[in-house]
Amino acid sequence: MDEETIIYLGFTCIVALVGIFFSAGYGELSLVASALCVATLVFIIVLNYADFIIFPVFTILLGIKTMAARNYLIPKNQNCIIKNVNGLYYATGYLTANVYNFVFAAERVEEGEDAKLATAPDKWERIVMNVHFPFKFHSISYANEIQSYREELEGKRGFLEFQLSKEMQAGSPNQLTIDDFQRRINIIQSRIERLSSGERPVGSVMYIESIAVGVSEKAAMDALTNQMNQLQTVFNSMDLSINRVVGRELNILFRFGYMLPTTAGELEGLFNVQK
Amino acid sequence: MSNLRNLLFISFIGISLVLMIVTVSLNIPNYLKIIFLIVALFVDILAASTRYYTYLFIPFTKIKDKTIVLSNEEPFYLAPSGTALIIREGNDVYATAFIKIPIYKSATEMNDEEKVEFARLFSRIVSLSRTPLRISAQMYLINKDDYIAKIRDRLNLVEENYQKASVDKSTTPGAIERLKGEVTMWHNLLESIGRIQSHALINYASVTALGTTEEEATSLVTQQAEEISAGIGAVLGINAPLMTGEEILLVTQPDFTIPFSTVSESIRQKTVEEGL
Repeated sequence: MDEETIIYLGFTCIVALVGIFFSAGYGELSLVASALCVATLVFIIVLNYADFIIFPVFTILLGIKTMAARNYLIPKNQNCIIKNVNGLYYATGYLTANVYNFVFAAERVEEGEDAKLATAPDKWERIVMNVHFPFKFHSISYANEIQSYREELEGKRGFLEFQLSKEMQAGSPNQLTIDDFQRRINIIQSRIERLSSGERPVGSVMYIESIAVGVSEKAAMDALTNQMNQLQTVFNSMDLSINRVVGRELNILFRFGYMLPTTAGELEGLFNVQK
Repeated sequence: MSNLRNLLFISFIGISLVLMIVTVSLNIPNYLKIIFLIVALFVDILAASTRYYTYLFIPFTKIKDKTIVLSNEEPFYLAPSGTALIIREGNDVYATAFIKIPIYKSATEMNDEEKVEFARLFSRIVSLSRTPLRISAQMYLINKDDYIAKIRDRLNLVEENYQKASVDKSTTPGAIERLKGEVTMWHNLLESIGRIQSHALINYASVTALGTTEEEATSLVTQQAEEISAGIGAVLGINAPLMTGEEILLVTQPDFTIPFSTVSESIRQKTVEEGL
């Protein structure tokens, strides 16, 4: 969670907590007041972590569509963007595609990295051969500042080492917790070593886009859902973490089609970026 | 947007907090206090939603026919030079350039070492730019619109000739048969072209620059794109040119990724087949 999110979440939760604190002032309705404040608190936390669930529910209940640009309409279920061209409907949808496994393999076992790299081009070609509809695979990346990234990693390593030593000195140390701390320290250590060997740190966001066409909005949306399901199946071979993008991020990815963020900070503020 | 977001957030938090405290101190019936509390909590939720949804707040107040209009303009237009897309946002002008990455190698003709090396080279490309750089691979439908249009024109012509010949008593039965055969031939050709959808793959990179004028943004993005193009060329040993005009539309517009006539012919045939 970034600092800005913590500030937004913190202040709004404080307001709800103030409500609970003053609930005695509502007399016989103090329980109702407390319940309302707790419900708001829960709603705010859910909104912060799972707005992709709440926002589409809100638009579906109210039947609200969004016009992102001329001829581009986001339907009420917020899972695609539709363009109408002379009576034909083009539905565009997005899937997240995070290559976590490749990143972690590279950090843990060197020999595993080569094996994965050697199979990646084959897997990609097999996917291209087996998909019979248009799709795009995008990877947005940027090079980080080496010095600040190194300092950030060293800070994280120091904090984990402190937690590890605290756990080891505890009355009854938990072996599983110790193993977890050691694993995380090793990952950070290997990242620092990679920086020392001259590798540049890179942040990235990956996603898949597909377009389906139909003679009506519904036909295009149904065809798109079918295509999305097929893409999820074929990309499973790449060990990708795949989810369909709905809600606010759909509009962001649509805009990425013709305009990218111009700074790394802007991109990091929009998504959880892999580093 | 960031300033507006902060302003809205502070205002909503302030209103919510003041409303909540004042309500408790007022000497009014408890049910009225609860109503005020609900309003205060609603404003608090609005404050929380400014984190991600500020862009919807003002358009939401102008909602019409259950449609929130974020923009009624074209999302972008092509720069006069044809090498970049121009996007206007308030006083800011953004320009996006696209670089083609032509790769003619296939994994099937590489050994394991070459595959690893190729993957490593490709991963070096992603760290070429300090600003966000997008590398994309796109599979699209090959555009047969012109070819289909030519076949349709020809079919219409021979059908017209056939109709004329059928009513013209001076035409010999042999000539009518020949025209009928020609109509069938063009029909079959149109069907076979429409039935098969041919796909192609294109790899490209894109980058965006911000400027105060169109010329400045275009110039900055062209400079960045040329640097990236040189980097890609050096890493992969290929010529990576800047994309222009229709090439850019192919990777940004859905109706260029799936060409209109090509797909409508395919849909028509599918509908006819399902109808039969």
